[in-house]
Amino acid sequence: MNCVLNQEEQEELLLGYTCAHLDADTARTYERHLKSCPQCQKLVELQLMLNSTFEDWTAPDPSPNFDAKLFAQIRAEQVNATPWWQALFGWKLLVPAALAATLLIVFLVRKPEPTAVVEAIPTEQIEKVEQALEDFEALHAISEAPAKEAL
Amino acid sequence: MIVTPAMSLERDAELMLRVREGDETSFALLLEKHRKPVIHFLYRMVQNQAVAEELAQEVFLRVYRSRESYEPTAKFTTWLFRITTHLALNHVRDRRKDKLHDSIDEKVEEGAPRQLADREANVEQQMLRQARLGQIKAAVDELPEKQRGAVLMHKYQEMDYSQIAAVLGISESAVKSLLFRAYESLRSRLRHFSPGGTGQKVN
Repeated sequence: MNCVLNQEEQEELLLGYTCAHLDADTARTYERHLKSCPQCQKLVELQLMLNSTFEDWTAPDPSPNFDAKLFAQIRAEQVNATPWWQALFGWKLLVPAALAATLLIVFLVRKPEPTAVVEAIPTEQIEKVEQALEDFEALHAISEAPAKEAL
Repeated sequence: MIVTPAMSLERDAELMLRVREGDETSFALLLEKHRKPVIHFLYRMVQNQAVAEELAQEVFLRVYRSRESYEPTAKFTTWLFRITTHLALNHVRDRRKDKLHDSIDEKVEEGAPRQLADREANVEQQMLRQARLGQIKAAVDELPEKQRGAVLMHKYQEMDYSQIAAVLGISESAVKSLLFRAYESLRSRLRHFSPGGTGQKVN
């Protein structure tokens, strides 16, 4: 005899019934249906066997060092997440250290001020120097002339 | 005092909010409460104790890392199992992609017969139960990963359709469909163990 329930109804009632999740009225109606439906009886039998087999599937307890391993990983992440300057100086020393570093950088990169002002040289002095150089060149030319003639 | 599920929800969310404020003791309390269910779920998903613990470490690390952005919008266990299932499904997919066949961890099986022996004197029945268990483990391992996750949450975490739907990020009707197909496959693996079955596969 074919079951009057569609597949979805069959499955929903089956799971609800074998897990004891059906309300009392639905469970009684389903039980009445079971008496006249060998197909659903078979499904209930198999589902109960499946549930019983699932109960036999034990899982091992967690390792005793599970928590210790986890907290070690958390610590390692916290250390890695802390910048080296924070780890080295800590927050209290970080502000003065940053201030000192800023001042040092400002000192090093600032523009140098002009060191001296070149004073103006009087024109007379320049002319005297030029005259002296010309005299010196003339004397030099006279002193070299006899040597060239001798050659 | 009886602790109701609603009170438990408030407690977990409250603990997580304290973790957000830097209270590590609250994190230790959450770990103490949820460590075992998470590892057991992962163990049945991947059927390997070492891998299950490795994944569970990652689950709780992610919980800790998410403490600052945590908002108690969903039930804590839903949020926790969303992380757990995400990692488990990725692992199962990667394993399938790599075509690596991990050996099923036999450690637990060593302990199981002793437990059965306590309950049943009949050796034949013990063997039958062991054979059924072996079949079911293999059948669970062969299920598509979402069906597997849905069945294990339904069976061992006692989650209802709506909670499984929230964990997997799918509709309740999709969860029903996953569960119905999964249970159908699993029952078919046990068919030959029933009185009307052929019994040919029972060694």
